[in-house]
Amino acid sequence: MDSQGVWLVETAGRGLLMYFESLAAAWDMDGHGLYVWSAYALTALPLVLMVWLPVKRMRQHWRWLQAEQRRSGAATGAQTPAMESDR
Amino acid sequence: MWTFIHKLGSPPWFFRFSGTLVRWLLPITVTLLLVGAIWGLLVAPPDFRQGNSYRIIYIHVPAAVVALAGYYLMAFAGAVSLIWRIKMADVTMRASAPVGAILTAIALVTGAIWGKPTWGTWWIWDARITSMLILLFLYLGVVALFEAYENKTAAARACAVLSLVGMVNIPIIYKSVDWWYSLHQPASIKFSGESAIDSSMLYPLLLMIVAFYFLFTVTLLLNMRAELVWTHRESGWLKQLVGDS
Repeated sequence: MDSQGVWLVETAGRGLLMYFESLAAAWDMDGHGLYVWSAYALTALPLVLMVWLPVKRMRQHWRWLQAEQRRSGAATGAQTPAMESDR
Repeated sequence: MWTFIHKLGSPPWFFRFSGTLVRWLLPITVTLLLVGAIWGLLVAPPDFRQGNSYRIIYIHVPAAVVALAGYYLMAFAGAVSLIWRIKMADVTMRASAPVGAILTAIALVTGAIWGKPTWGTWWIWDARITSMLILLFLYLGVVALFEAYENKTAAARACAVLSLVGMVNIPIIYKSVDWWYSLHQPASIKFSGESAIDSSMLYPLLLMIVAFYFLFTVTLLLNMRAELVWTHRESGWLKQLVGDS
């Protein structure tokens, strides 16, 4: 391939050379761009949700537990004693 | 080794260990996914027959490969849960089902999008595609079955049996492209002998497969942690952790 393309990463003439001549060509992909880019976009969304949803669920539970401890602490006036860790 | 496995069965130990692990794995996963996607989308050369539409392979194949691997893990955890009644095995089995379902859905959707320009159709009832659809239903079945039971011990047992019975589908998925030769192309990567794919395309593909394995691990751990925080809300170790935070 000639060195006319777009360098993504370049150090002294070596690195990752983009296959396409321009970003417009990369977007079009010889008419297949819509398929390829939509496939990547439709993948990106569930991947983000896969990570974000359990994190959110965990935070909610954590906050609920913190609030619960404050409630019980205020009611009895004492810290809940740490019990033996159970299986 | 045995002490390590023994420790994995202990929720307090697992909770701390997985917390550290996720903090390391998540940035690595994001980096691998981004590098792999850019490599596959922009750097790798086009396929000489399919042109640029083949670039979907860099998400389609990794999602499908890891969806299958996830099923092994789910069924194995199900077996462990049935035989030894280890609670953490139940948690592992439950946590892998939604992750596997999403990955299978990604493989099916990207496959459909790839099929349109390549085969001229979004969907056909080909053996590989149909058996992958069954895999999706098995994953969703485990999720739904667990929710359907009031008694969670019975739910875990039923899910374990379902996931073990569903194992029948796995060799069918693998062999489907050889047994019923239709539109779906056979495997390009082989463990023995020359792969039917050039290294300029193979390296980004392998990178994406590794990235998806990392992603599976991270999301599995995150799901397990969210589950443990709720099921162990009465436990002393968790109350202490929450109190210290």
